[in-house]
Amino acid sequence: MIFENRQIPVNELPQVEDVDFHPLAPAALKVRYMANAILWGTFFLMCLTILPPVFSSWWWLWMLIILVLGSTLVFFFRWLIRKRFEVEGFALRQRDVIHKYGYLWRGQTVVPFSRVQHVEITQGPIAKRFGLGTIRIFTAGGSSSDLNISGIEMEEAHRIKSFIVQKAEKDA
Amino acid sequence: MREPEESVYFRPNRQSPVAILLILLRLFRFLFRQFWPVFLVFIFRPKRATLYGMIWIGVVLALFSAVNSILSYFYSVFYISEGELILESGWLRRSRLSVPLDRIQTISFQQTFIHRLFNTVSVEIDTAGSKGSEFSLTAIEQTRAHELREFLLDQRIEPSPEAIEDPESFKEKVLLQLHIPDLLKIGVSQNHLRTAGILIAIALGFLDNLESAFGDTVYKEMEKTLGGYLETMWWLSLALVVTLVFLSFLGTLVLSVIRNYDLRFSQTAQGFHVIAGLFAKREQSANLKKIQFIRWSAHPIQRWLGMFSLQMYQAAGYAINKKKTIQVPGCYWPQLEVVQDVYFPKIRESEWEWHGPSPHFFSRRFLFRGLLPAIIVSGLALLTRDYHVIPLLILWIPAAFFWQRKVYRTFFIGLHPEGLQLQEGFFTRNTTHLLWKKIQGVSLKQSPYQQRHQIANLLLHTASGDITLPYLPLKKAKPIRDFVLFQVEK
Repeated sequence: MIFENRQIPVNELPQVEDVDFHPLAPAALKVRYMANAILWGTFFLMCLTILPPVFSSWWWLWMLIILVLGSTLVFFFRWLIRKRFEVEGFALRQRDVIHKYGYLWRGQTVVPFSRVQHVEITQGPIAKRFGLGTIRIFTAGGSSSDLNISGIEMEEAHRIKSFIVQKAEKDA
Repeated sequence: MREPEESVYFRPNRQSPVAILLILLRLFRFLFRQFWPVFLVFIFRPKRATLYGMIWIGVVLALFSAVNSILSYFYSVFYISEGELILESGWLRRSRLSVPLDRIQTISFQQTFIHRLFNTVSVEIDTAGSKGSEFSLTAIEQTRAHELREFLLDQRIEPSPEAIEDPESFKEKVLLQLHIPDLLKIGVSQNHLRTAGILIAIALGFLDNLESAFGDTVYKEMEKTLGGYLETMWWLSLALVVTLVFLSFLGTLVLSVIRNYDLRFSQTAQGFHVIAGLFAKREQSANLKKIQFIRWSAHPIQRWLGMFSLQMYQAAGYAINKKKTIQVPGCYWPQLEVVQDVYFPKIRESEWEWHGPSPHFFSRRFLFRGLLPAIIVSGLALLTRDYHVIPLLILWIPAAFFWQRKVYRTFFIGLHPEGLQLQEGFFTRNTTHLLWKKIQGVSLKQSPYQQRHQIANLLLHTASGDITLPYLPLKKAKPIRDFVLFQVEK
């Protein structure tokens, strides 16, 4: 075999930058808000039931502190969730799938179809009510390179899954 | 006795009866480790009534262990069925483990002292895949183990063009055989601090256990006497430190000689093979296709001796979460060259393009590893009004500055049409080679600080962990990512 190594001009390489990212389903924001509310709600309920007996004399002060801190935290996370939602998106290219995520800490992961081991669709209890699901794309690279795109309409998720599976079989 | 018929593995097979002994020993070791302080108490403070009770419990435990290991032996069988290797085991709770043959990554043998007595080995089979599970046989006759390995590898490897190229014409080629002088060199250049740490931990653990075993009074007495000595005679503590240093040096030396005794590193048709050890033989083989990346490192003592320690990172199922790394602790440059050429055949056929991280790499590292610890320590010093550390801190800051600047200036990322080369580290120099085709995915990550300064970390995911290219200017990181993706996908 002859070693072939022609030069590729760098600006002709396909660029991830040029891709239009597909946003998540709008209902995904609601799902995340609800999950956030439930998580913090149970946490504060637990605090409110456990703490008064512990700080028996000053319990009302602690209660106040928890309420103030708690509501600030809840709203901070609500704001963060919205920001994260606005940034998040995914894109399918001819040979790979790209996932963009994070607001404070940002990331973009690209997984070539030829490296996909299998694809899974999961659905949590809240997402189910809104007809949304999560696409999980597994590679041999372990959890750091696996993609988790949550908040896609089920019908679309199934279409994307079969597209990726087909591509993965062809490219591999 | 030996059956060359391959079909023997399609029927249920038992392990060697030596397994009974080994299972029993494993159980005893486990029990002893759990209860040794209790034993100590009974040796030093025997009370008749409880002694009889303990003897009874001991007899029952021993009987149970014996029955357990015999039954475990008879109830565990392995065989091959429909392209899967199956291990059935357990008598209280049956379990059935199956591994698809084409998922098998490595087959390694281990030999403890007892294995050697009976000419057996234990076999460990590692797999890949999300539902991977580790498969191990406690004891099997050595000849049979080799047969099994050959059979499994035969079953697994589909004829690929490379395999057809050299059918059995490739003989195993010994690249490196370590002799006593090499072993001593390796021993000297090992990490003695680690042994010192282990020694201290053992000593502390021993004292801790003594305390619970003898009760407070004895321990307090001991502490008082010893503590008193330490306070008055500072030279005793100095002697202790010297002894500790000497012991840890000797300890690592002996341990590494035992561990790497008669190490043979050879090249095989499929990849590489390492066998070493004095009492417990350890044998590892790496299939070239499964090697994800290679790395070698050398700290100043090793550089002075002209030695490197080589690691080959293999794919492993991440469910096991145990990376299969093959280590050759004392390589010289000729062996490294062979490994390089085998892993990265086109290494010399193209020019390398070199890049470095942004200067922020230095400033952040200096902040987090130099200034921040100094601030914390001086804060503590102010709080406790113990100002002894201040001169040390004054030395620390310029040293950290110099160190981190060196690290920054010696960090190089080399790009090649076929792969990547990473050179890093000032004290210990690391060199990593990664072929593009081994990459499973690529991530670009930015912290808030990095977003403000237009820099990013580029993470290359492989089946044996990530390789990070830190603090690249965004203008460089993006084209490098696109280039890597192009090479992976073409």
